[in-house]
Amino acid sequence: MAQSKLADRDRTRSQPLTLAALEEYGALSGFEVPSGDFDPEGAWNQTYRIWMVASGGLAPRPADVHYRGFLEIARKPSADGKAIALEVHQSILQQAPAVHETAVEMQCARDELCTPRSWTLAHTVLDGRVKPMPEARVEQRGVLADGALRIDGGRGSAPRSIDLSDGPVTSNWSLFDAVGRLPRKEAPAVEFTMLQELDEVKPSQRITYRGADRHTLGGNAVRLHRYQHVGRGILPYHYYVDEQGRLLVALGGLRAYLLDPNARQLHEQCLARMAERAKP
Amino acid sequence: MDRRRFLKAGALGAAAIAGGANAAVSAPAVHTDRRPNVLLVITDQQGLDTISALGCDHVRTPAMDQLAGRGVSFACSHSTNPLCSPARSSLFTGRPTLETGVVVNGLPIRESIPNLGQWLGREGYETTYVGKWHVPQSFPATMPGFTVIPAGLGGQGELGDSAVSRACEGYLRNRTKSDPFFLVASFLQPHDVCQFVSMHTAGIDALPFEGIEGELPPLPANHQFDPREPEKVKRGRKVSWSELTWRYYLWSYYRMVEMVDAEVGRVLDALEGSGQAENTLVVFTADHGEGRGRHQMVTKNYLYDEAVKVPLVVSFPGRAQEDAQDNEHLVSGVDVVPTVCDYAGLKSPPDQRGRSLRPLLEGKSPEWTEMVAAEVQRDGRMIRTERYKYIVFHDDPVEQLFDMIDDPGETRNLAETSGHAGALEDHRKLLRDWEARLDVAPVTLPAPWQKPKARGGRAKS
Repeated sequence: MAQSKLADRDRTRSQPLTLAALEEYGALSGFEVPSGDFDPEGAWNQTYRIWMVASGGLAPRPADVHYRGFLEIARKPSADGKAIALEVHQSILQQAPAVHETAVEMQCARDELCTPRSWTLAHTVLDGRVKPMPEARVEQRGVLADGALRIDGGRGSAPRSIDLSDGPVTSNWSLFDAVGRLPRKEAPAVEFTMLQELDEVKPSQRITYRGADRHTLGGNAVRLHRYQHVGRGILPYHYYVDEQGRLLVALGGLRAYLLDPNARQLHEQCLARMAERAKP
Repeated sequence: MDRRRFLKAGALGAAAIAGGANAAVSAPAVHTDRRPNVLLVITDQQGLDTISALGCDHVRTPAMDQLAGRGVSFACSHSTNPLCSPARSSLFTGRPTLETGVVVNGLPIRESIPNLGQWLGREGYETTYVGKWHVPQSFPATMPGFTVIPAGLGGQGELGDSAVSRACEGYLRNRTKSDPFFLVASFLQPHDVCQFVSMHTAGIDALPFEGIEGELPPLPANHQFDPREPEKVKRGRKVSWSELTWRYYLWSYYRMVEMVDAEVGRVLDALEGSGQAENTLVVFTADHGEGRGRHQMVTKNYLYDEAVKVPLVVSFPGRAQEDAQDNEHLVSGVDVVPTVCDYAGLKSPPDQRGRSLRPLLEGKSPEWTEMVAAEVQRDGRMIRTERYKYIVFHDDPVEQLFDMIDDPGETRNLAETSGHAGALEDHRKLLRDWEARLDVAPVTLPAPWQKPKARGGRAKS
């Protein structure tokens, strides 16, 4: 094969994104492999650092040029055990600089895919001074019932309804819960429609178990179960789940979600630096 | 403010913005009809034939399909310069890149030329920009002519584009002003394919994801190419991949198109839900295309159709045809500004090189331009007429001439064929005449672009 003529401007764009590549880049440096019991069917709170292939922009520490934000998911079963409450907090650094924050409260079915039944979503844009921009705020309520998705965007937005009667439905955030409970054996793919951020309908999704293997995370060997997720409107994902059912790493497209109990703290440091830089 | 003072302020504003040789601009006429809103949606690196409703079998694009169903899609739509900054400079000014001065990435628009935000803003439009700008900064917090809602991430459209669509959604929901708006929703995808190419330069021996083999698109019919190419075209051939890698790259690219389709859909849904869709002109286009293995090319920055042809869909309920495809008229990125101004009831900025598409959108058959032109890599030029495409680089003796009716894949270079000598000379003349009409901008290239190289300024005679 003739030699490629592309120059490697950044080594993190020189090979496909894999766990081994992340380890090589140092992205998993300091990764704390969690120990102890974890009940994927119980109440838990996980935070993930979002790492991106392309570097640049503000970071918690100068070395963290691939840092892009954090995702926090809190799961709480209802008292009667029939439903799950998922709280999501996502904060993504933008280039300008700015911050986009999404806060979601979902009531989900206690089923294989943690299907959202109703939710509220609020999206806020913070400018370079880390001040909210009310002109860009989004508040949304959604209900998934009787085979239909109904979204009410509140003032300035007429409600709309989308037919989703064709099979299981879940959200991208619900998958951070669901993969910890999917079967760990060769089985037909789990097929579903995904609601990306609860309002972008992406049909023809499937998740398949791809076995278990030992991987090195931050220099520590750990056995991880791998699930592959492919579908329309996404670049494929791999979810890496430990023996207890914790999702440790989600790798998809150009990004990785890395389990990190310090992610929120890191992010707050980043926002403080952003606000400091914006001072006259 | 009464109307007389408003127009006076507008004329003063125009002088302040324009300056230089093009400063003398009279206040444009404003119709008394309710002026339309304008939503300009731009994707990055999306080729023409990547929309499912318009014939692409490898992708599902429900939002773009819906927009095509509500408007007119142009099949002969061309970028003025298939690279990010140059193409965008033309989209926002109505001028070719020889005139905007943005001949490579990262240059600003010539100071004397107003962008469309400046032009409409003077006339009472609320002008708001969300997403990638790249003329010259990629994602600035401020830019001339627009209020910016900062959103988007360079090199990371898959993560940044949802911020762009949410910000646009918020803007459309929350605005209370009665002034018409001009909103730009500028997405980065499917530009992430550039990262994919970088990450897969060595190719793959096996698919990294199981079960997708049956979904891989085939190699394009024009994967092979006529080797009689200018050197700059040859040097643009970046990878040498196996068939498997090419097809995996295609599959991944179409997933990126689907990703941005979902974001476009969110913005269109928000427009619909805001109650303002009926009075909003929607223009959807891209800055340039993507190689997709045609001529064994990836990315952009050359003049074959896969890189230079872009989607262009225009929708305006009750004021443009619906579910129509224009396969005949040659159109270009310089046509966006006059089209918007025409519908807004405004005179266009001076020295426009394009035309309003409104007669075509209304189903009329006006006399139309016989050619469109494009530029690339500072000295590359393209002239496309109804039948032929001519490509030349001023420093290279190899010219290209393709019969676009008999050879739409551009696989047979006819430039050295005696039977086409007349067509070749006709297109050389069209290029000379086109260049002669331009007000070429003086350009100071950023250091990385400065090379000690002699340059010709005109086509060969």
